Amino acid sequence: MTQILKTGKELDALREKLKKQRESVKQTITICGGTGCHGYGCQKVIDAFRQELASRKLEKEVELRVSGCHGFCERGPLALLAPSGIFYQRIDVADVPAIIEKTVMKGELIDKLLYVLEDGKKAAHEKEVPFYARQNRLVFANNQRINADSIEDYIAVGGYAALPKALAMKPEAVIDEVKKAGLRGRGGGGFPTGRKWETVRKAQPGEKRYVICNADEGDPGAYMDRSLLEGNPHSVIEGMVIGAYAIGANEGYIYVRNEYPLAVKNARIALDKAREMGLIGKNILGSGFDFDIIISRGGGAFVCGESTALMASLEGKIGEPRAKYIHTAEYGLWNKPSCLNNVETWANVPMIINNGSEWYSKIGTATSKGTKIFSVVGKIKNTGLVEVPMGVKLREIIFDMGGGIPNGKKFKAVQTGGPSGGCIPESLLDLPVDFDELTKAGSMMGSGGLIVMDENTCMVDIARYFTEFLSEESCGKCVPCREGVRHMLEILNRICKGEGKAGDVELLEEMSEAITDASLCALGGTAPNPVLSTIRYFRNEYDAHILEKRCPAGACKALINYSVIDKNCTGCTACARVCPTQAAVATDKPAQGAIKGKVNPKLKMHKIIDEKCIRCNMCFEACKYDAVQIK
Amino acid sequence: MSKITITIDGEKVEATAGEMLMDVCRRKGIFIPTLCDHKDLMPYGVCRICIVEWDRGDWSKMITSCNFPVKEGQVFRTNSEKVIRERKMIMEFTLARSSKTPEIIELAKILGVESSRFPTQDEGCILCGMCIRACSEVVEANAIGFAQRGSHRKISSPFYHEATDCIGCGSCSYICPTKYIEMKEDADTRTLPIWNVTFEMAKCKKCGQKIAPKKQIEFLKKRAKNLPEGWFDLCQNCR
Ligand SMILES: Cc1cc2nc3c(=O)[nH]c(=O)nc-3n(C[C@H](O)[C@H](O)[C@H](O)COP(=O)(O)O)c2cc1C
Ligand code: SF4
Ligand code: FES
Ligand code: FES
Repeated sequence: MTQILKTGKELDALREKLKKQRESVKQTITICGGTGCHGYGCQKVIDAFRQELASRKLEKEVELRVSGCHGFCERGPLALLAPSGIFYQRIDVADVPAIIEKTVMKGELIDKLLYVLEDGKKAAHEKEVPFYARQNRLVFANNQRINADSIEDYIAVGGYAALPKALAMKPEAVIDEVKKAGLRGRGGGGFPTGRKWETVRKAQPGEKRYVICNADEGDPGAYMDRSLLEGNPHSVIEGMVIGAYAIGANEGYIYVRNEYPLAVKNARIALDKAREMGLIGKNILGSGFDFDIIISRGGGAFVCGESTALMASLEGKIGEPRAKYIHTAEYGLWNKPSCLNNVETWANVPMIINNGSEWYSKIGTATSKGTKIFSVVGKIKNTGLVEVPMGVKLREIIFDMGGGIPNGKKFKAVQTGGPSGGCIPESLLDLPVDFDELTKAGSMMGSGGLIVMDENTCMVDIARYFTEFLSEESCGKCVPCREGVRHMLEILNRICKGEGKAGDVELLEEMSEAITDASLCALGGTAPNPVLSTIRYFRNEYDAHILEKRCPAGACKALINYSVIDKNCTGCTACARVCPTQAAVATDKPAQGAIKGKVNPKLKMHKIIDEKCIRCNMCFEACKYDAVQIK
Repeated sequence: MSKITITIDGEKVEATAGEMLMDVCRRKGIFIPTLCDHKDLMPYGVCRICIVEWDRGDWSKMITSCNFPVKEGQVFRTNSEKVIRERKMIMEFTLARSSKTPEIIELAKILGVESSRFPTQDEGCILCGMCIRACSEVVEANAIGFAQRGSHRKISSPFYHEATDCIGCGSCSYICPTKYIEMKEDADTRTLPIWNVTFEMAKCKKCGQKIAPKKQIEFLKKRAKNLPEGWFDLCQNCR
């Protein structure tokens, strides 16, 4: 039976009890049950562990935990063993009996499940894996420690400790603490959270007000908000209850992206549990404060994450931004004061109340405090979620945690801040991650997406790609964004096709000014960023496309030709076999290239017929003798 | 509402707190181009051609004057180089879309834009939404709306079918600044092809003149309860 908690003391007592229970378990196996790992079949692994433990009657001694995302989805399914700290990755169902038999029962390692380090050595423990070792997980740490659907686990690891503490404070004092901590919004703008709370608290005295959690997460490739809501929903809920108390709201919403079924499910379970135990609902912990949260599923468009569009969508209207010079903090949802914060922002709140603003404000830089979770994707060895203190250099994230660029390729740029962020070149890799520094460099923190690009990435094509995304996601309401971004895309398409004209770059810059300044919402207002930042740092690539009709990275199909380097071609026929259009063919000349030191003149030299070539790159990938070149 | 003083183009101007900047400018005879503002409708703020520069001392910000409520002491520039330059660019965007629309060509000329550097289209609708807003804010019939997103956005009847809530009042057609919404009438009917609707017209019992679509009269009868019996049977002249 669930206990209804009527006071902070009862909660403390429950925590002590749960902690003891937790400590009494001899061993635990934590399997990641996040969305990423589900893609790798973790459900079967989880089921296999359950069966195996049951058939060996080990359920009492060994606890199986199904957690949310650990951030290293690429290596999933993952298992973390305690107390040994052993870390297994890429686990198959067939490995499960051996893990129980050898590792759990005898403490032996299974070599093939260990992570292989750069030097070929194996890492037995998570802390030896560079991806994890360099992180500083504060917000994300509990994801690995708890069952994603267990409020008891969350309480046992210290969850809901901040809530009674906050409820015992004056609301203004809670706001003050968040202000002093220096917390800034993690959803994009980096607006000081405490200040926002204060505005909402003071707006329209006596009126109803709302808190809202923005879990719309529309940036392609970003999934930190999903992982938090899936893996540790109570941390977000606890933050929201504290925020609601501080601003005087009795009603809250979690606006979650429709494509996040597991996040919705786990958040729903968490809300039901919290309500059952009296941690949300009427008279929370005997404080006299009432607050409840409703889940609302997103409208589906990227722009629905924008504050006014989100609130319109919550009201049941079309999710479009509205033009008004009145802040949603004062006139938001149903024209009432509304406090919208991002998932990660909310999840930072309990930590600040628990440890104090002084502790929190020591982490990070002068103007950016705390940690930030980044989603690192693209041309990088270790893709995944990393949480680092603000102020860490981009280089450390990409090379130390991310492991650098695969296949011996060179780093070229990193796009920070999502689709409307900017590309940062190699020369600025020592830039600290900090709201203001990234903005100065022509990019932004955004919600924390990092897309890494290597030397084979064409920067004009990248700008074109993001501009296309933004043009498609424009709601179409205002002229600069609807028409302007579309015309920018059209110019970029031309440049990539080799039809660029002198003056195109200047025109793009001129358009950017009006689009940035005059768009109705921040989607249009930031849409020129990818173009402006690539012009700023990679102008030479634009010039090569426009003036020389050449794509230096060899990526723009209309500007490249495939040909055979005669002296390298061994006549192996690999290219001719893969070519889908018979553009790669044998000539009647003997091959000149050597296979294992020997030239076989009976084999025929190959060539590529340009008119037939569709630039699919298959021959380039198939050739083992570097005989296919792209120019 | 309290009286305040703001500065526009270097001159002190009296205004009421919360009044929209564009209205203040109009009163003062300062030219502000607009393509989506209408005196009978709420500000919508989408054509963006009404932008002005809000001077914040060491920095400035572009704002749309049609929906900007003024406060004491604010300083604006309506004709700075930046304003002129950005308005021209926005005009070029709109002109590229509606390159054959006389009203657009004319405003472009006023702003010093003779032609657009972008690929042109011949789209009569500038998506100012006046038709939709008139239908919902003034007529309160809510018969039409927008469909699709981004550059595919269009005005439309629900799902492009017959606009079943349309009463045929023609407000959309009257208010459209580019005369895009065609309204046809013959002896007995009125048709709005864009919304796929045709209405039978009511005629004056006395002189036989067309009055309005029967459906519109039904709509009005329901709203205007205290009008004399038979009010809607006669045309304006015979009433
Ligand atoms: C086009 C667009 C999309 C956005 N999408 C999101 C989103 O998915 N999640 C989010 O938290 N904020 C998003 N934002 C930012 C929100 O408008 C808002 O600033 C944020 O949720 C405020 O919370 P914070 O102060 O905690 O960052 C978006 C903004 C724009 C302009
Ligand atoms: S900037 Fe783009 S997304 Fe925002 S209102 Fe304008 S058209 Fe819509
Ligand atoms: S989902 Fe398993 S590590 Fe991300
Ligand atoms: S008149 Fe102000 S945006 Fe159209």
